[in-house]
Amino acid sequence: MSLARFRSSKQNSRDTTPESRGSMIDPHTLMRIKSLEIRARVVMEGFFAGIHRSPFHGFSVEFSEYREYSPGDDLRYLDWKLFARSDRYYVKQFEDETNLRCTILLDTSRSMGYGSGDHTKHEYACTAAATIAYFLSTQRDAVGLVTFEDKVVEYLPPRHRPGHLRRIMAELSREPQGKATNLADPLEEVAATVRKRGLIVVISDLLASPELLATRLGYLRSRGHEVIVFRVLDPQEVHFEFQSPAIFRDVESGRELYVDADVARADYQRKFNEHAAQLTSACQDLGVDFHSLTTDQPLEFVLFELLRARMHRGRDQGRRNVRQRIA
Amino acid sequence: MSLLTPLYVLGLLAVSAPLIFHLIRRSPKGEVRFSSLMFLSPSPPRLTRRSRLDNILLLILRVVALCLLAMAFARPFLRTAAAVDRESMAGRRIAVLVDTSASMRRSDLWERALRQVNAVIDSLRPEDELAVVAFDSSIRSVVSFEDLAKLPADQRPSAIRQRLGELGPTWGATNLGQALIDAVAVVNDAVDTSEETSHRVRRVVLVSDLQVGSRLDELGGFNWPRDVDLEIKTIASDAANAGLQRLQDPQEFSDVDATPEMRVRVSNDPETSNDRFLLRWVGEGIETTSTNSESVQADATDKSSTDSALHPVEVYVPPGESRVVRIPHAPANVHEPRLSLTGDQHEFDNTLYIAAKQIEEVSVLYVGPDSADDAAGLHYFLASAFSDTPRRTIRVDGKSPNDSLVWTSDESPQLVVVTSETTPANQAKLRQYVEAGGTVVFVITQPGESPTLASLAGVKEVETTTGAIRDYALMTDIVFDHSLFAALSSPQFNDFTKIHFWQYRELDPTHLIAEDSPTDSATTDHETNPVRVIASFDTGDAAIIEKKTGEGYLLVMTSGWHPADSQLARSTKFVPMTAAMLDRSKRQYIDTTTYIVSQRIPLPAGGDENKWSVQTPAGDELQISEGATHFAQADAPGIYKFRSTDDERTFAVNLDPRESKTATLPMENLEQLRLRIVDHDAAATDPERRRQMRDVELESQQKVWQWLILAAVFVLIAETWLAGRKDVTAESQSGDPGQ
Repeated sequence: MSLARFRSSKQNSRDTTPESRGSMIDPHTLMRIKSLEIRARVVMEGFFAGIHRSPFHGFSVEFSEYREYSPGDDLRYLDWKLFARSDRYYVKQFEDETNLRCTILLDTSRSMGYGSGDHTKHEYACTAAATIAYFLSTQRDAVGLVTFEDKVVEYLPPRHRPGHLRRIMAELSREPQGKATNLADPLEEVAATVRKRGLIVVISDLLASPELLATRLGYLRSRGHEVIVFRVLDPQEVHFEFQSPAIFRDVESGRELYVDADVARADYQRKFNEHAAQLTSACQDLGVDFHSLTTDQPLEFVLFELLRARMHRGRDQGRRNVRQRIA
Repeated sequence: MSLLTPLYVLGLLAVSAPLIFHLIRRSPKGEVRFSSLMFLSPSPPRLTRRSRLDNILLLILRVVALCLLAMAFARPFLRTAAAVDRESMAGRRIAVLVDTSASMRRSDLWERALRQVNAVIDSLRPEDELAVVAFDSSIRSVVSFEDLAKLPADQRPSAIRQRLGELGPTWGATNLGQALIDAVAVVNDAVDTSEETSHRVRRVVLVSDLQVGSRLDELGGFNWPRDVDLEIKTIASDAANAGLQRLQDPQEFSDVDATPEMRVRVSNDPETSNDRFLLRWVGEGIETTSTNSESVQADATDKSSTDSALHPVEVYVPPGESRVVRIPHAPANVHEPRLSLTGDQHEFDNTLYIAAKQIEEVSVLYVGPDSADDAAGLHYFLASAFSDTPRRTIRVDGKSPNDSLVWTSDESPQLVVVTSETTPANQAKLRQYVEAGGTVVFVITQPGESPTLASLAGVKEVETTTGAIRDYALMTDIVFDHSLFAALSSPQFNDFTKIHFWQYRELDPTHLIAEDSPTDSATTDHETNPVRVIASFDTGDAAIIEKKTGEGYLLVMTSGWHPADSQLARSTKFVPMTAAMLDRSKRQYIDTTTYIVSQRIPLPAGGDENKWSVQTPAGDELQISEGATHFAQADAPGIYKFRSTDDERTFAVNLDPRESKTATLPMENLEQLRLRIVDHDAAATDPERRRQMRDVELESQQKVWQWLILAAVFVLIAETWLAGRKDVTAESQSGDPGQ
């Protein structure tokens, strides 16, 4: 897939019709593959096939920009050739060459076990997490995994070692046992545990109070982490297309409620959208990348969004540096 | 159709419940699992947009089930013609049971009882049948159904009243249990001539003071018939009563001389405040002096004074308790003394009659060669075994076998013991004695021929041989139901293995059977065979043989009790055995303490046979018929006299002590006996209540509610089946498109 095609598909990322997906792998088909590792590899290879010669390749170790020399700068980075051409001193600036430390936070609470189609949100989220882990480990980046319900269940610190990916895959294959979702405490815990700055990818349905969530994401940001939030939702949760009245049973609390879907739909959608808007704005304020996905969307989008976010991040950082310099 | 509990019909309102439930359809499709309810709010239940009834058949079934249940609880019944009040249709059959026991002699109880009976007579209708039965310890018919049926209806009340006028309380005890059973028999005995009469109400009306002393034991095992009602008209008296009862003297049967005091029990009513009573002797020859209680108490303590017996004794008995009092016997010079109790409010049971003590003389004749002081002989032990009692002196006379036996019929011995051969004249005399009803014990002391025994047994000859004993023989096969051993039959007494017999004479019991006797073998059956072996030795030979001869008995012992023959005389069994031999003759001595009114009193022994007469306290002379063994007409308390030509014996008859317990029997005691007691007064005064009771009875007979419940159960089963079937079809229909 060419970059142009990637861009067009990115523009239609909310449009999930098969035609718009092009050659991307349909999640229904993908989920029939039992092995999580193979699933992740399939997603990533398809993705690589698309971005084969993309300019993003190796962006993190490449030259970034020139900066006018100011006394005190290291003379080693002075570009003598440019000086020869333009008679001005410029210093070459490079992107940080250190490897990326990525921690994936995966919500395994019981609400993630819901799925109106043939796969649940949890399966989708696991595949997404596996894909990210696989992708990053092929790039020789350190990947860690934190699974949580109402508290942290398992913590695999970010590493790049033979066998580490396998451990992550094994952990992701485990069936979720969780009961309640409590995003706040696990995020707080992670903020306290993961001390080295890095990338934190949160994969959850975020069915919790936006205020609490914003505070905890704020903790992570204040630690200097980059945070990307993938919100995984079931199409039914977005559109609420139930027809008849029924007793609705909360998969987490077991609470039952008699709901007439026809009557309640509008109210549901209003509240849901309000909640989503609050989440989006909270994330925007904190500088957190927020992406909402439904389980019928192709999984490649996760990688696209990840890369896009990284790209934006680099660009934003560049701009920020320029702004600082001007100031 | 009527309802017993109409308020339950309100339960029909419950019919609205299935209607509403059919209209409201909540959660028709079951439940849906959803990830979170945080964006959902509960929807109010709504009527289906159709507002129509879908499963009409189910609805109908549910409504019908509820209706049936509501109706069942309302207890419906039918007022059919057959169920109309039985009393208003047919006449009643009433037996009035009037208590005439001695306790009815209290104050005005009898008059009140008569008034109650008259009230029953007044309520009679022409179609009713009535019988009046009086009872004390037994029942007497006053007016029977048949008597009354013969009279025209208008003459009946006067006829009954006339008979009642002749009736009065007796001195008998109250046997209420037997009287009620008999009254039920009277009511049920009447022949039902038609269908109509067999449906009559049968009722026993009991007019009684219902005293605690009534005997109810018989009712314990009696099944009171369902169709006989019992109406109780209690006549109670508030006045308290105390009772007096003579107790048997414990020394009376011992060798100790009779004490100078006798024991009486004074019992007091539980519901009284009076607890002090005076006991004093009354009779001809005693001056009745009125003394106040203080001086009485002072005098009563003065036991040393010679005429202390004549002083009243004060007794303190708390309410509901009884005290045993020792009082001195009446002086000998007092004629027909009576012990009198004063201090309570009813006189009828305050006199205790005491008969003068009589000592009976019994003589035992011993015919044998040994004298009474020969410690190795049989006479010595026999004389020691019989000892005098306070009421009987026993004299053992020894006679040599060759002496002529002479006695008059008046002083004939009660027992004759023969231990050796005697003269033919004596044999004839003894034979005559036995056949007249005497008891002769023949002890075989020598083997060989025994003409005396043969004569006594009425056979030609009897020959005995010495029994073959190695060391000693033991007595076995003892017939313990025989009177000789009856006193020793209990397990703690019936061990005879300690008694060794050193020698005995072998006698074939069949030799004692007369040749003209119809049977030919010795058995234990007394009816067919007069000879009976009542004990044997372990060698198999007979030890004691009894032969019934004429009216009397001949006991043959093949071994003596003296030390040369056995250890029997020195064993503990000997005295009871000799006493039993003495009592083997039918004649009994008279007991002077325990007779009560209506008791059968055995005639005394001795005197000219069958020529007794009895003088009652009223002075009447009653001849006792020939062959009678008992006197049964002691129907009033007092001193009676048995009289023959040359003998006179007195005995006292007193009131049954239970009659003195005059407190009213609690109604619960009667209810426990499962009598069908009707509360007639309440039923008569309140017609509304009566109607209700009839309704209850009708309803309990018809039991329509059971059928309604049954129908409801069937309807509910049908409903469940139908609903289940609808569910199955609905599921299969909804499942089909998916496949």
